[in-house]
Amino acid sequence: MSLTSLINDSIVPEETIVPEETAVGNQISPSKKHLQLIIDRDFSKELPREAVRSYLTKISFESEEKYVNTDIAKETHIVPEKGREFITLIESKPYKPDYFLSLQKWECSVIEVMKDYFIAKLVDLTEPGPDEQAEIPLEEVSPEDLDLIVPGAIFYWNIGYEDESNGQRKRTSIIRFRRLPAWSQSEIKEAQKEAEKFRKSLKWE
Amino acid sequence: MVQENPKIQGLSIVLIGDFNPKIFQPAWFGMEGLIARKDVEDAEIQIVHPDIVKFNLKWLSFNVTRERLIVETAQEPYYEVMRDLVLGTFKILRHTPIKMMGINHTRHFLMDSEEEWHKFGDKLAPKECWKRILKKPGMRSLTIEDIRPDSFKGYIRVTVAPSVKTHPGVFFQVNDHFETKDPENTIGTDEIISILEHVWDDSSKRGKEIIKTILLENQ
Repeated sequence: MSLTSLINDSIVPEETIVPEETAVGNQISPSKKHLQLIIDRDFSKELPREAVRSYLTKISFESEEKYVNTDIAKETHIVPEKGREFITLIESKPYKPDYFLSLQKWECSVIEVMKDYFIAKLVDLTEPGPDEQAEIPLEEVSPEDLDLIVPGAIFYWNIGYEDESNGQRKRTSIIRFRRLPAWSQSEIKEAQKEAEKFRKSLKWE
Repeated sequence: MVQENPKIQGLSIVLIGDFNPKIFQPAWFGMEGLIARKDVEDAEIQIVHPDIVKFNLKWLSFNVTRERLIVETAQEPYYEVMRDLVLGTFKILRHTPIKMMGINHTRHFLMDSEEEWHKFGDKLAPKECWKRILKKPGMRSLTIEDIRPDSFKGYIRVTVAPSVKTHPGVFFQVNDHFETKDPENTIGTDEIISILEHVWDDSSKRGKEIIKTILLENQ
């Protein structure tokens, strides 16, 4: 299947397709071109509603049943009219993720950062229990997340089994740092107001 | 008997509102620091169009049209990461009108035998009345709706069906549905984002509890 194999070319102009360099199915390795936003295309023609819906029903890893409102178990069996598949897109692997079963899961916050490790407070999300502290070597963290290790930073630590698509099961530890935009001025003001309300409720002098 | 741990599980967040799909590209998420650069580089983009954007990361499937945004993950370590991605996104795009949200907890359980599998279906949906008119009735899907146990507007909907992923198996979904106070006149993301921040833990616990109870009560 080629990148631009559109059954109904009159509906989707060729230029609305993302650049070929991004096509994983074409065995082109991921490149820095992914970092470019696609903004300079001519999107003059609107896709028919049913075309959008037919595409929505194509891939879901959970159930063969589909979407109504926010319930993804419903809106079943909405398939494109036979012989009219409006948009055939970049050939791409369907979303077939590896499955991960968490045995233990913590939400953690960084307390102190040392030379080769950092100290974190661990809140057990698997079973309620007292908070714990741990020393975690920096080498446990993905290189890209190292910059995020600062006092107060939140991260999630999961230990469990990962079932790979090739059938292999492996025991895995995953640490992912929280990525949120910086607090806005209005959020800071709101937090200060909340803190003030809380302080007053304690009736401290 | 059903196996204690789900064979497959997942979580999705569905938002209903007015979106501009073209914004939601891996590169944009990367530039805003909401996903790691490696995620951006490894993203599989399937379509970018003003009406629909769809791409997969290793841990996430992302799908947005003008009316609906869906993020899904099948990897438990990324549940909170996915939530943070939604929170971060709409803290930046805070003028996007969002009026509804669903947090969907899904599980597929493997049963020990087909006999157990049928027994489970028969307990949930007894066949006596159906057998009077149908030859061999079987439960294809069952959905039960409940009012919300909190002060938010919405409902809870539980769906049980034969699993299409594991056989003999059973599929569960708990749809925790929320609406803003005045959906037709909602401006911006503040209300839904605030709901998501506040209900996350309760929703996760409730999803687990509902599924566990239905499983145990009907064995």
